[in-house]
Amino acid sequence: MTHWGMAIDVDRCTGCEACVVACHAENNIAPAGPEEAADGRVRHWLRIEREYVGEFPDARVLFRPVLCQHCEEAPCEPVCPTYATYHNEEGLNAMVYGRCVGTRYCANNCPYTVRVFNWFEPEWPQPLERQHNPDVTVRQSGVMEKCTFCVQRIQQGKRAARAEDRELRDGEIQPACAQSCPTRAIVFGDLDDPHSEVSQAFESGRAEVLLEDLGTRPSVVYLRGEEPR
Amino acid sequence: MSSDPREPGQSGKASPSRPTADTGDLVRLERRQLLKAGAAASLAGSAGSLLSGCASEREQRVLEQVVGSANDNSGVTRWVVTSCGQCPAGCGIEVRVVDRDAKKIEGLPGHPVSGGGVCALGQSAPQQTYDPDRLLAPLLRGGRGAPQGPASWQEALSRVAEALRRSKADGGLAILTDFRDSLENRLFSALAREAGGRHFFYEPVWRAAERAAAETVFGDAQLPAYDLEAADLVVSFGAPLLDGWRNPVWAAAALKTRGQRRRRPTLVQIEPRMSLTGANADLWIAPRVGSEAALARALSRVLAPTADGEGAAANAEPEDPRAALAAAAARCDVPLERLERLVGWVRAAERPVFVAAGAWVSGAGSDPGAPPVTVEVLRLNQLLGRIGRPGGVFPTSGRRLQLPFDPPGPEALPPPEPLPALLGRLRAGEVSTLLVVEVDPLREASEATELEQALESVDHLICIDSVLGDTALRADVVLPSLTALERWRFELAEPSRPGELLVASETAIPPVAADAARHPAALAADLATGLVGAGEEPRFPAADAAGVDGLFAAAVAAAAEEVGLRPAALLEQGFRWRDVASTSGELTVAAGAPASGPARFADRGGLESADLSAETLPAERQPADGLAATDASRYTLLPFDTPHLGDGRAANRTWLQQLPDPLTTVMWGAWAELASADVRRLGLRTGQWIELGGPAGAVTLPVVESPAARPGTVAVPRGYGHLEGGRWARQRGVNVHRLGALAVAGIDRASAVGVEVTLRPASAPAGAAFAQFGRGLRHPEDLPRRRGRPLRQAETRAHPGEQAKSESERPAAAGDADEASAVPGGESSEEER
Amino acid sequence: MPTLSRSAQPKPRPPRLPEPLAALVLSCAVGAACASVACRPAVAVVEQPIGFDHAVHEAEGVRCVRCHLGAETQDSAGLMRVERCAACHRRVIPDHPDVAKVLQHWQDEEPILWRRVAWIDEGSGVQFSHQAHHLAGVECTTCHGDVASMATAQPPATHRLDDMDWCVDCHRDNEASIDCLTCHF
Repeated sequence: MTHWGMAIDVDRCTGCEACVVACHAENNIAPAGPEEAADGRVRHWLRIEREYVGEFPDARVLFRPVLCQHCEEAPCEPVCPTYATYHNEEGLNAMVYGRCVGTRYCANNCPYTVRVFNWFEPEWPQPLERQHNPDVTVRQSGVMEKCTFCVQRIQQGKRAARAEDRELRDGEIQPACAQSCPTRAIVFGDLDDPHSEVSQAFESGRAEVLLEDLGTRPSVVYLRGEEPR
Repeated sequence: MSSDPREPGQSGKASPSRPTADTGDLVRLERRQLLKAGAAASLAGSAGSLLSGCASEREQRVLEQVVGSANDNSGVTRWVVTSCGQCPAGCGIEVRVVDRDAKKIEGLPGHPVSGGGVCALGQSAPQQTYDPDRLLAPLLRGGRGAPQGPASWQEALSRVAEALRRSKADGGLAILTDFRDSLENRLFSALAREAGGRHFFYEPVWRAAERAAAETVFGDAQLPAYDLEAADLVVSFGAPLLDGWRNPVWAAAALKTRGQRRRRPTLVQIEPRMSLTGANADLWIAPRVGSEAALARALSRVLAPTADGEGAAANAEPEDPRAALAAAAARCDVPLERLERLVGWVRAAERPVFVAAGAWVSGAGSDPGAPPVTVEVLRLNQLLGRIGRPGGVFPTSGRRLQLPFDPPGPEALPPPEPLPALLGRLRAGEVSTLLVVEVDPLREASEATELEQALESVDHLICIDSVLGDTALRADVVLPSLTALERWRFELAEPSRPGELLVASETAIPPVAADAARHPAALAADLATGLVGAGEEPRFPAADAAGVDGLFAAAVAAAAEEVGLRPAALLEQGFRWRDVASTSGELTVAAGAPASGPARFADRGGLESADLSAETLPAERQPADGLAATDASRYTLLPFDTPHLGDGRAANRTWLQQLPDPLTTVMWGAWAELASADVRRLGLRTGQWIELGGPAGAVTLPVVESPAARPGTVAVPRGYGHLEGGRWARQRGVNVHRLGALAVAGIDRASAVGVEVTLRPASAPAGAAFAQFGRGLRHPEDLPRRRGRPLRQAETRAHPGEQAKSESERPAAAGDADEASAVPGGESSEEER
Repeated sequence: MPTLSRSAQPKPRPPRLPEPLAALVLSCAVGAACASVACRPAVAVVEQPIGFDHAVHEAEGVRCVRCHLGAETQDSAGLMRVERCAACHRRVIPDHPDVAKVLQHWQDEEPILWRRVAWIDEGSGVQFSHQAHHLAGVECTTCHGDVASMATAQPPATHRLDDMDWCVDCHRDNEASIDCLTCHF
């Protein structure tokens, strides 16, 4: 079995947000104009949280990329009246656009506030549409969306392995964010494979999860502190 | 668990076979096919009529898609290896091309500089190509004062040719390009020579400062390279290593990753405004604006006795190091303990390196006549024997792009001159025709105001660009150029890692529209051809039948031959890398290198170590530079380049505009960053609008409180306030140059840094919205109180030291929960439901 | 381990209409009839700008993937460039009236406006992969019908390509995944 998971090394993250743009490019996320953005309706599936600690001259800054945590006990799932969001066998918190009727209960119940809603019909002035990734559905207004762990790339990776009649290699599948990261702060892989890089990261002792008290059991961990030699 | 930049073949792409870039004939063929595609589009209508009248709009759209991509491998993905080209850093990229369209940019695994990473700007390249406001036809002004209107290429080119012919007679042609050492810029040199004119280049102030320092110290005004990978301590005097500078992708990998055989270098950032680099530093020192040079001098004096005396050390008088440091601490208004720690780290480091850059730190401050910080810092490297050593500074003297048509020798094309030289000629009325190529000096240059006045004397202003910039808006003729993805490139990348990165890459995609835009190199050739008089011997290299594509091919062939590659093989990898270490052979740090060097924050239990609190100055010594003993309403202006929009050339891309600034989380516009202390004192809050008054004018901006800002300063990003430039860039934010900010901060007038501005509350301009990520609705006061503490209540928090301690005692996740709700990002989208 | 409580068996049939709100309203009574079936043009006969006989090519041993290059290796089957038509037909019956037209296109570098015969409506949010089906041993004919015996390719007569019932039945029969994320993302 496969269980997809991600480890994000916050000591490596510089806050450059290359991953955020990679996510937008890969997933056909509709742009939010200045008005929408001012209303808090910008649709980042992945955001870099910035935190100041202290004040001048002792100010320090911490960056933390936050995306859908693909919780094993996901608070978003039981509240969906149409089963548009559910957990699949590979540990992905799935979001099926065709089923979504836009109640937004899921977003309301998400403690990580990583779900975004399409309030308006997305617009791409011509010819920006030519950039669209043909592998990802363009969402319509009234639909909830969020990070998919780049499921299209997972599917492609699996097909590529199957075409060559071999097992998937660890690290072969990378979501767009991990691929773009200049410092390789994001590691993605199979948690059921104890030898995978991401499994090792989960076990490294540097790992912590967001809002552990809630018992959501995320598939994303954050690594903190000095890397082992 | 970690390794250095990705090895080749580690790419995440699952494409089973990845055909390499089709080059040459195929690309040209597609260009012509596209010409026909216009006709195809009109046919789409008639094909649609074959459907029954009930055909839905969606099906019509599908049909058009099919027709539009007819004759291609519709839907089949190719990955094309090329170079980025969005900035001069020369990163390697792979472009996913489906049919004719660029879908996605990914880093090229195994690239010697970018190592498989790619930045936000680089990934936004498709939005440059598919910019809905891109120029796709020449613009022509009917006459003085008449509006610009679309024109045919023939009309536009003949108008330019006419202007060039006239200026050839009076020697009044000036060409202004960017600073890249590229094939096309060399062709503009050739065009200038052909027309009896001169070639100039524009560069940002910080780059000019670095070159000037290299000239002073090394005798050659070429940017040195820094071996950040091998250094164990990087002390940056305002160099925005991770914000932009030479190559943020390379710098991030060098500074933040560790390999099996190397430790992560310790980073010390010295700058008055916290940049993204400062936010990532192990030690951040914020000296008084303009006192950086004094700080560097003090470091030299303190460190010199222990260094293997080289050069300037001889002049240093023996002096009590502690007293010198104390004097510097007072002078620069930084905690003495912090300077002592820095000195201790430098002494303990085996391979320290000092980097200097930055517009506003270049000044000598209150030391008229003293060398600027860039010079002091290079000398510091010299003093500590860090020149040409692993982990040190590598001068790049004599580095210039080799081109078959421009062999070195007396006949070689003269190198272009910097912008101030052009200003001089403009003022003297010696320029009748000015050709500006893909730069926008009227918006982005520190000399913008002076340039604007000087342009009055020019008869013909001609611009080549893909967007309508402030300069192009004034032009008599605007010629559209191809975007980075549609162009081949042959150029030397900006020095980053020691070595030579030659970029030689093919086009990723054919042009979006046939013959709508042209390669600047082709334009240079076209214009030169028209200049050759009867009986004259053309000296311009592309005047023969092969054209500029032939020049590119010849240059690639020559570059490939030098390293024993086939030209096609060179194009397939897109670059040629030559390691500077081939001479010394000691660049690679040996396995098991001693783990000495400065103790890092993290070594002592992470950044939270409580000893930071000990450095806090007593309240009565709290700095207030700019405010000190003077008018409390005057603030020192710190213009800066944001990590995403930089100089603003990419401002019409939604991906970048909606990207929250990493430090302030502001989207879609400029802002004024004020220290928490000042915000409290003035009774302001984030999102309120203020008016900044400078020597040359006033601008209105929203306030953003920054706990990391130095009190008495106000930082304003560049890269906003375009007069035109597309629907998303136009009039968004303000152009900080309108304050006269950098207009007086050119490198020759370095002592004029720290322009003072006044500050007073203002009402928001009509239609202006302040967007901060995670801030919620526009009028938070209209809503019930939100969860979490707003930033301006930061003063009620525990003392920073205690805060840190208590955090480390709590379970980490619980701490996170609290913190997440305290930062703007953590509150995100709460109101949006 | 992942929680598998209700992963494998999606319960209700998802509304198939593109607009979720419209779906809410319509699913009450009207059903899916009008929007997705009635308004669909009866593409009984697809005509192409130039005659292309699939049967003849098949008989000559030209397999589907010879022209639809991505059919076994990529998501999209694709259609090759006119250059590749010409590669054969420069020598093979260049004087045939239809072939002459093709060659003319090649010489003029002018696209041939082939009409698409089979596609899945983009509003359905389905990401179909030819490669995946090829790897699973699905023949072209299973979905596309016996194109090889047709002169001009036509949509399959027995089913619609975007009929999810038809897809899911086949997935069930062949024990292929019926997880929503297999196709919908």
